[in-house]
Amino acid sequence: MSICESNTFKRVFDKYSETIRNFIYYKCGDLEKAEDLTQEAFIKLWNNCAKVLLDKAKSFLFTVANNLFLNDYAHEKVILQHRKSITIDQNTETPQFIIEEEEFKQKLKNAIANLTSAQREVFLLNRIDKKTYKEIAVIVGISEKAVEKRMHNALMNLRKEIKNHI
Amino acid sequence: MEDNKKDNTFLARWINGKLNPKELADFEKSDEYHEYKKIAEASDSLVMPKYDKEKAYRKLLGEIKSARKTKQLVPSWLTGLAASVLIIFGIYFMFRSTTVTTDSGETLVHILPDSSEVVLNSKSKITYNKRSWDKQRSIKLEGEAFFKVRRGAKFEVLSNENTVQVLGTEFNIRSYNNFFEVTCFKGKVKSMAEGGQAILLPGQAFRSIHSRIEEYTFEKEIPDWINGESSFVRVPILHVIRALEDNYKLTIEYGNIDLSQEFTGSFSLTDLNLALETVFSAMNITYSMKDSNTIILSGK
Repeated sequence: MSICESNTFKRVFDKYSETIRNFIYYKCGDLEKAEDLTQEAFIKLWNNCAKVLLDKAKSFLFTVANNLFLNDYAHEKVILQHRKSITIDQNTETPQFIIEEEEFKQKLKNAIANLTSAQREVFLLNRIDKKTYKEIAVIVGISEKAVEKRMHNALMNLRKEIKNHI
Repeated sequence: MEDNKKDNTFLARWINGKLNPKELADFEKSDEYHEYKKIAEASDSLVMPKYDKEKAYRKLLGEIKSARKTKQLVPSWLTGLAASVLIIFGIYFMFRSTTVTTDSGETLVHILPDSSEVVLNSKSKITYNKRSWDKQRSIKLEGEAFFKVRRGAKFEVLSNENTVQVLGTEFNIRSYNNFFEVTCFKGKVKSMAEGGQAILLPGQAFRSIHSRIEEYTFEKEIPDWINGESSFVRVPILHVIRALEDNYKLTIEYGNIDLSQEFTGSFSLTDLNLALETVFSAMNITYSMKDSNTIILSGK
């Protein structure tokens, strides 16, 4: 099965494109850039389709995406959204605990933006994309133990940062 | 949480549900527990902007199809250069130009019509016009060369988007993709690039790596590579790897290593095993030979 066949290529795209786009976004906070670099990575895969074996496609894509990112130095603050757990009704008085919850979420998002890129990408791949540490190790290109260390440090730093803003 | 200060993966295992019952019970009794629980729950509800996969795929196909049309018109040896450079140099040097090239592992001394000297490092290329040399000393460089310039008309070295102008001096230029560096050994050198310019005296250097401009000083009298060592000061390892590939005619597969790590040091240009050992052991990278021309890297 060759990546040069359009069905196979599409399957590879369907499987990995969202993760790559999110991964680059967590690094730089620019959605348009993340989508552009994802596209470029797949174009490179297509151009090399005869040389890349199907089981190496994942590794090829993540490495290329990361290298493309390294050659491109614009960084912006990572701004995330979150699902609102309940719509705040203007007419009724909002319970205090809901207000506090929304405030906490905002503090959390700011704290995430202030993490190092290395900690942030691991943290968000786990929390948003629900990737296992093993999967994150492959995406980022480090060992599973290193992923756990970054996750641990991210949590510690988030707690510290949030506490300092009360 | 005393023990947790030494256990640097504790929280990662906790949030993954991998603590044993005792560890979990102890943690739940701690003061910080409820703060971490809040973070875990709140972060669980974070979302990314919606991803329209089909739309992205259609856009990708469009990009591939349009690239295919223009791809055939551009020969592969041109894809490394910026389009504007092509227009300037392509026409100027099309007629009556002299070109000197070196292969991997090769160095060459070339004497210019006015007796100025150019020493070319591996895999480098210079192009100039012999006929008009006494009126305009303009030379194009790809790669690395050390110049010893005689006094005379303005002497210019052109490479990618940079120009170096001199009046009778000794200097070294490295010009590669995203990496441009001028080091002045004698006399005065004016280096111009998008984003900055500098006038260099002996012992001064100017460089632009991925558009980041830097000036530094050094104490050598001639470039190290002329004595068989290629040296780098705080350079992303990507460029060191490229230099190894050029000099030893290798293909190096990066794997997943961090190419932006900075390397300071040098490697032998005549002993491959020594070169590999000195570069990679310093950076905690393991390497293995796939065959006599291919090296595979992996991070430790």
